[in-house]
Amino acid sequence: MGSLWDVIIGGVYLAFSLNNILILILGTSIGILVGVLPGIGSVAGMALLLPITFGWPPSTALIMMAAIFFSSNFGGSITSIIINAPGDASNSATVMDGYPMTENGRGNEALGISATSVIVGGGIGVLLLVLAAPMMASFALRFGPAENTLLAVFALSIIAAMVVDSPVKGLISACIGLFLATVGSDMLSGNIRFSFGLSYLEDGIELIPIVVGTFAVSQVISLAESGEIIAKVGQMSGSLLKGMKTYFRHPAVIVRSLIIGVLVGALPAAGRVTASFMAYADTLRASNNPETFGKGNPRGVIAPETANNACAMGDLIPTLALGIPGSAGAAVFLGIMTMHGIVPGPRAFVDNGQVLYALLASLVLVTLVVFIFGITCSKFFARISLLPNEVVVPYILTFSLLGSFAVRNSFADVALTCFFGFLGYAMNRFGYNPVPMLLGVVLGGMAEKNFRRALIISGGEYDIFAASWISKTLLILTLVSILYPYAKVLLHKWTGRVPQ
Amino acid sequence: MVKLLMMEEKTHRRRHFALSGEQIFLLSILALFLFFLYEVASYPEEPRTFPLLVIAATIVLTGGKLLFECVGLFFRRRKTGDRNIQGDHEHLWRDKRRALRTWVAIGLSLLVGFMFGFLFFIPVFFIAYVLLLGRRKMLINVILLSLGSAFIVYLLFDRFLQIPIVRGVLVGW
Repeated sequence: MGSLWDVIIGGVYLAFSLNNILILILGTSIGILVGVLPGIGSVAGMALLLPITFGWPPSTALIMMAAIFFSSNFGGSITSIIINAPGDASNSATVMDGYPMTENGRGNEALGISATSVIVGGGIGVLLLVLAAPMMASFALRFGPAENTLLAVFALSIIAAMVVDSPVKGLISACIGLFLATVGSDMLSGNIRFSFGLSYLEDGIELIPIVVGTFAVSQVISLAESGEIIAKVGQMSGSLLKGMKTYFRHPAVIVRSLIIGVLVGALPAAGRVTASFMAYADTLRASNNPETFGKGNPRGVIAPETANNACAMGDLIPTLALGIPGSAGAAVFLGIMTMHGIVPGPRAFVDNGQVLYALLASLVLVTLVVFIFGITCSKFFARISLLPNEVVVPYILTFSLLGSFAVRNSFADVALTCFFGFLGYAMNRFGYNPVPMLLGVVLGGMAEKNFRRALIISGGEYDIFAASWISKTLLILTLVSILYPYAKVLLHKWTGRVPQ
Repeated sequence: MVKLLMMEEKTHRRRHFALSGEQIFLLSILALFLFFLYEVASYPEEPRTFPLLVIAATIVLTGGKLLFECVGLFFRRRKTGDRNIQGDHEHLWRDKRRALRTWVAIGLSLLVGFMFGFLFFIPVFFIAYVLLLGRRKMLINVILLSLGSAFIVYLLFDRFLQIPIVRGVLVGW
């Protein structure tokens, strides 16, 4: 037990080092900035900054990324409230009452509510993350090679089924990712696979060109395609302090939204959008005066924002403990962890406990920094979203390509980034979300290693993948996750109800 | 008149059998993975098993989806009599011209970057972007901004971080 406390204290000490605190503040500002710019969001933001963190100590890099991941949500709420344009899809529910509050001259109050929800929703979310993730991970230590293979397959199937409208499309995307993970030298036999005589491919495909290309470059192309950012800053009045007081006047809404946020976050691949809309719908349902919603009711901001922030932390529970990301952002975060040598999953808290506890401690700090930024600089950040497209698009693209180039000083990396940019763009256009592909790349190596180990143990018999009760449960869950979307449609057809 | 009707019928028939963007995407994936299947067959057994499973799964899923798409589209066109019905995600192409222009700007800038050095990529992309997609009255401002940015990138990477910016093939690596 003593050693566990040493690890925890070591992690907290690491998080509170001056260097990491400065990085955390920088990451928080960047996170709010990317959240504020409509169309960018946390996923593209992390992808953009990923090359810079290459070569940093893992704790510092993860703190930077966690700060971007969490604070972008607040950035998105600023634009939802002030300019009626959600920075991210997860802030869409906030628009419904946030902007009407600004129109009613209560913009600052809405921002005060949003900033307070960061510290309450995020803070309680972190506490649950600290308690739940190591517990879940210690259970997962019972997993052998066969169970680990099935866990990777389950993670892929559930993200494939949840993030796109058709599980088949998600599975195709995941298979492309798994294939990409097999390119290069085979980790067990040393054979070179799928290099086609190119020495560049013999070491495998680096994660940076994939992440930067599919998430930053393709996003920039979509932004360029959509035209100019047209928005108008609403008239700001009201008081931030009043917003903070208003927030605590609705404890029932806070508690219900917190529960929804954490539970939805802990479910693999359910995501923030679901959490915020569920909390909004729940508050609307429980209200005595539902007609005031959509016209600037503060509870319409409290509920989605609290759930959203709690969900962001809940997202990280299965990500850290099992290697199953809770959302697209968490999937990218998972990739970044792997790139820095931290393998998420059952052994993560055993092998890299100090780094992970540093990450958890820094998340508490992030909520505080976001709150301070929120009550001091919201208006300034909102103005950044009004930058013309002619400046935003070329800067982000240049920065993406420079970042992918700077890692190895290789023009081939730039070309590969552009290729993945095109692939990501095409996939998005045709409804093939690239998140399962990224997860396939991240989990591919682990899945193959465990798959082959399991076959060696069983002497080539495939029965091993259904031998233990954990394997059987995972197989059933995988099947359910793939079939559920189809079953849901059939059920709705049968009962005559239209699915929401 | 008969000629006109025949031409119209020909155009309709062409549209009837025209592939949607998604079908082209699926066909490309299918063709690539069939090639990978051919490639993986030559590998020794142990390093072959896992990629073979992944490739086979991709071929089955892609082929199935493609078949489903084609059959579905055929029946929808037949049922409604509207031969112009397209794939589910065709509407997502908000503005094909803008997308194409963005890729042209990127391609042109990368080519210049490859030929003359990565520093040239920055001003060329800024200018190409404004000329092809942006507001041209901002051109002077954007040129100044791009030159300034290229200079800052040079100072930051080449001088401060000691990461040499790649030179073009015409200038020498």
